[in-house]
Amino acid sequence: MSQFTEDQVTQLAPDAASLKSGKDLANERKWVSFHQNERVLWGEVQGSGKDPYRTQVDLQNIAFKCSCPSRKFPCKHGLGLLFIAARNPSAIKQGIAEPAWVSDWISKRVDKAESKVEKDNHQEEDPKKAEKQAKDKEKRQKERQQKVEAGVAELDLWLKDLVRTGLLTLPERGHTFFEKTAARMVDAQATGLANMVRSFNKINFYNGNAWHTEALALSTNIYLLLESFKNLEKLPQLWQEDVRNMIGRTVAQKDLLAESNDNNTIKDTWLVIGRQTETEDDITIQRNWLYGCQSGQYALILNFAYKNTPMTNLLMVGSFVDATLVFYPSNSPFRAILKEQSLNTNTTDTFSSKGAFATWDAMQETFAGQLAKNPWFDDIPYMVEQLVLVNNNAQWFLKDSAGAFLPLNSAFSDKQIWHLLAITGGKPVDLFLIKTNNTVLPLGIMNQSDRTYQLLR
Amino acid sequence: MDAWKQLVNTALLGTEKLPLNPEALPSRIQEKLINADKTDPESYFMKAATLMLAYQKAGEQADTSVMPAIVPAEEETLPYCSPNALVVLKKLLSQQNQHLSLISFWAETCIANNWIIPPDILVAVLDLGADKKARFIRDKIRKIIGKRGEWMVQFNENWQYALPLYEDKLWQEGRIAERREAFAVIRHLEPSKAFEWLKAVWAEETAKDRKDFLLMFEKNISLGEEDFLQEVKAALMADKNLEKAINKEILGIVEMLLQRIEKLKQKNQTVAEKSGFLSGLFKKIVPSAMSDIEKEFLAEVKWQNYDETNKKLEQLGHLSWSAEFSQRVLEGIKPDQTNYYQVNYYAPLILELCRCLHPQTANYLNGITQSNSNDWQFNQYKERVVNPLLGAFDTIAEIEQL
Repeated sequence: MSQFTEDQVTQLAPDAASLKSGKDLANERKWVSFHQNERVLWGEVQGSGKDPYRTQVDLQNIAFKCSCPSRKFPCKHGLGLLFIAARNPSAIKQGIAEPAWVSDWISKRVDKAESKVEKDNHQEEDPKKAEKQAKDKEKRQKERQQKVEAGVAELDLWLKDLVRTGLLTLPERGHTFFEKTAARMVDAQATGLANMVRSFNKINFYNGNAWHTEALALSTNIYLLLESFKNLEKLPQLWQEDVRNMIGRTVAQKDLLAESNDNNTIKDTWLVIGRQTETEDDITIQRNWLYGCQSGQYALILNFAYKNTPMTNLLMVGSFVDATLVFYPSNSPFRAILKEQSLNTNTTDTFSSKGAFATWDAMQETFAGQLAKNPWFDDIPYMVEQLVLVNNNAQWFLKDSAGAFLPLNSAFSDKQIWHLLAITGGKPVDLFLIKTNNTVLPLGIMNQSDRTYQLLR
Repeated sequence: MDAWKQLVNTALLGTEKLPLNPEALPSRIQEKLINADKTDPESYFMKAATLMLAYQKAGEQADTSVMPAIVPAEEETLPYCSPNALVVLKKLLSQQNQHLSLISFWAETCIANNWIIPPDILVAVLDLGADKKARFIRDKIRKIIGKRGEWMVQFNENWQYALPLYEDKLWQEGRIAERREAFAVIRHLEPSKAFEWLKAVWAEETAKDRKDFLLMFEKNISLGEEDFLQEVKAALMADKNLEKAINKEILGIVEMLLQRIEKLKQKNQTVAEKSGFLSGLFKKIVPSAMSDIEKEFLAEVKWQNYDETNKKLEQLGHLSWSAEFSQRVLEGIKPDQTNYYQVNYYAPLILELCRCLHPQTANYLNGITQSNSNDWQFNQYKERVVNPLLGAFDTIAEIEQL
């Protein structure tokens, strides 16, 4: 039973040091014992303490527990155990009864997951309490609305000023110029606007004239959002949701879960097609892109971690998970949260190519349609079939079956290009990729016939 | 002028200095702007830019010009290695200090089974071979990368080594440093070929280059090379420029080489005959009594002379060591009160030489892992030598079972 690959386990490591130690521990010799059944993997390993550490991994809802004192999560022991399981599944003894320390933990986890669902179903118990909560909420929302309105008005003036005097002076304005305005937007509870303003600081002003277009595009994106907010009442309901989210409303996960219904949830076998991790001011943002193997739906799951705290959702990139996703209300549902998940082990399931495109043109047509629904949409995953690598004047392209080319994004490294070449041997393959501006960033190779996915890292 | 470019110009200079001229915009955008308020030039401009950006993004197109296609790789004729074998190789490649002798052993096994490596590990293996420290296993890498691997060479200059007859090409066309490297590799892999090479070009080489090549000649020297060295010696003695420092140096080297050959004669066995593991270490029957070479080594060894001892140990790297000798070496490199740090000097080499050690040494090593001590040096020894060696023994056993 090979459920996951080494690559996928590598993705779970919190940092390079843990990864190295984890790999060192992927040596059967270092373990006193290790066992596995369908739901849990466990083992004992001699550490620096007197008693061996007890390590366990929940295989259904990926989670770790270890008796070692490490604050890393998952710790090296958990990683080591998973590496052994990934490298050499036959080395792990199966069919042995769980010892008490294992079944205690895993049973508790299962119960908790079940009771959470129960709780979700019985929430409105005390009508009075609920009424008061609703009132408080309304009051908070009103206050917030006023703050945001003030923030929007302020940013509107700021932007007009910028446009009137010209963007040419942007490089000299300095970091704090934008940071200050962003901070004002944070105060106005418009974190989305704040992030957009901060993006001015991410523009590379020293790379020829490329920044001219970038700065103007960013300015228009902000302008469009401000205008949309000012005319919010005139917009259709779902547009309003998108605008509010873009401005910086945060929808609590529990609220979203509470409101989940047939219209905004999709149960499917989801393939985690790729991940991007970014760290900014102590906050790590993890973007996970998913593809529904039956529904053909794409989804984005964001996870956040502050400083060294662990990511709460442990998705393994490249793995198939049976999960229910709840989508945020939007004109073009994309961002979602996980309701429940378990590793999919049924590899005979079929794979739908509903979300796949035969040519770049077909992809672009869909993209244009999505833009009409959400003009801020960018960095979106697609699957495009029968692509082949081509090199022209030291620049790499992907050629579609119609003979048209899109350039590879510069974030796709030489090593990744070589890897893609080695695996394909120059023959066409189906790729999941991210379209960003007019370039593409391959994430992995999809083999539709045997439903296997190979990450390109 | 392109409409977007015009918008950028206005944006850069500011609407105050350069108000927007809507006539340059596409007609569809002009239509949309008809009702916009022109008296607010900033808003008017931003509306136009917003429309134009969406217009452009929605209309992005893929390039349809003609580009040269890459000719796909040929189909493989040999099967990929077994999944178990791949597990072992991945483990070996993922180690931080890659264990070249074990990787080499893995590759030998792969070749013996007529296997090649699958595509998803190719880049890692090709990169490994590009490292100079791995140059002595390049001939094996060449044999396991299959048609796909050969095809890959065109995409990365550092992988040129994987082409057949790479060293021959360097020897014939390379710069002096490249030729020197090619010579060293071939002297290691095919000693007689290196001898033929040198004989053929001897007359044309400069004195400096001759010296460098001769220095590399010591490795794998054999009896058949005596006549040539004698000729070189005679020519030097007859040379009226013998007084030149470089010629004296060469003469010194030739004499040293001739002495080595004398020694070989005495033992009546050539290094060429002894070299190489005929099969996996643990399958080979090795006498537990020490050989003359081993006795000689122990009689001369000074463990405190790290560099010299390392060099001498390395010279024994082609042999399977007897049980007693293996253990004496391990005891010799064990640090004590007078040699705190010697483990640092010996650990890398002894790990590379793990295949020389007698299988019975595992008993000695196991004894050490099981004993506990607070002694810092003892623990260093355990951590850096004993445990890794036991790990290497496991891997050897794994490879032998493939």
